[in-house]
Amino acid sequence: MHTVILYGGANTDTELAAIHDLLTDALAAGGATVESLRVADMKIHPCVGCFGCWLKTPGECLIDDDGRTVARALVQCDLRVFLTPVSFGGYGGVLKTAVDRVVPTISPLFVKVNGEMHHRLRYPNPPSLLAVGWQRQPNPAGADIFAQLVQRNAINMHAPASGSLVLTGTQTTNEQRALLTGILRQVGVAA
Amino acid sequence: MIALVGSPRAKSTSEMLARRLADGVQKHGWQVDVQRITVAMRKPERWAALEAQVRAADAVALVFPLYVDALPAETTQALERLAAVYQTQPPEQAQRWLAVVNCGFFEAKQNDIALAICREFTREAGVQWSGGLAIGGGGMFSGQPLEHYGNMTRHLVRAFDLTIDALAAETDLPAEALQLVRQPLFPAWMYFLMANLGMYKAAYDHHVLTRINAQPYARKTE
Repeated sequence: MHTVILYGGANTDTELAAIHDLLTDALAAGGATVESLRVADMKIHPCVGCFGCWLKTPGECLIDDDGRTVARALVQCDLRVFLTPVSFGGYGGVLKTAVDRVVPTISPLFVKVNGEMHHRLRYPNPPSLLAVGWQRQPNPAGADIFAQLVQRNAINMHAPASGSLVLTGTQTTNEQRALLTGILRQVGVAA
Repeated sequence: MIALVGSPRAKSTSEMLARRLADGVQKHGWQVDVQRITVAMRKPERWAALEAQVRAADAVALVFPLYVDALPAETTQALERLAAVYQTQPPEQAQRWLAVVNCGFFEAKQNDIALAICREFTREAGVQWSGGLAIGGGGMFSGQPLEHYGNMTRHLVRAFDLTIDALAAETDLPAEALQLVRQPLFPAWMYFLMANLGMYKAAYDHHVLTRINAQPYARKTE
């Protein structure tokens, strides 16, 4: 299983970096190959909402930067992992800059999913989705929103399997490792 | 009041909706301003000016399009900056926030996670949440004022008028406004059909009809 981790931590965020290492170890133990993309080190312009990726160069963003690298990697994997500080229940702004650039990877056309309107797939065999959030102090309200957001993303990205987890600064490393192992099983990684 | 527009587009549905709110509140005698977040985020001096404006406001209306089930990235980053500032420099007075989010999907409820994020921001930033308006079917707007669409948007007009009255009275948004704004603009089947036909037509106009589902990043095995 080829996994792409979209890492949304700041370069100064040592706690999230430690979770990234736990995550890559758990993925490797489960036999997955891991490609990590550190958004903070990449040149990614925010999506400008021009729809050029649908109507001018279908499937590719008009902005020629690392956003294209992210989009390509997220198409060519079996599991997408978003790793991010939880920001008011959502993804942190660093990660969100990259996530907004996945728009070229879906079709501009629409389909009904469970009676709701969503975009069609552009590529067959979409990857599964896992999002791991980080809160220095536990915030159940934010964690609940985060879980719901990942569920919605999974529907819109047509992910065959999905899961989410919020780790906190009050947990031990062993507790975090156990939680990561459990959630990876949910998305098909037998760690 | 300041209305913050989260769309990166120069002329957007979000800006049209923000100006509708601002114009209405101004008629109640309020001083209002409309600012685009993306413009302010790109230059430190512009951000500093916007931050000062926001801190001084009695009410803030955050108006944005739904991006991947949530707020656009730069809007998220703006809220992160404001929440950090508010920890040490809270607003100069009690401050009310409301949010207006629109999406191209038919169902207004697809905006609910974005509104939950906005509400959580207000809790963490220590400002007051007045409520959020969720608008579906945004694909039918072309930047024209709400009244331009006639009978189709009458419930949106009413919801915005109620919202303006609540803003001016410094009260929470009434339940009637929150419900009215969610009413569909079209029957679902008609919107779905028009949305797909509209995309095919746009692709034809841009000479990419045969490539509309191109797969430039396909794996070689596919």
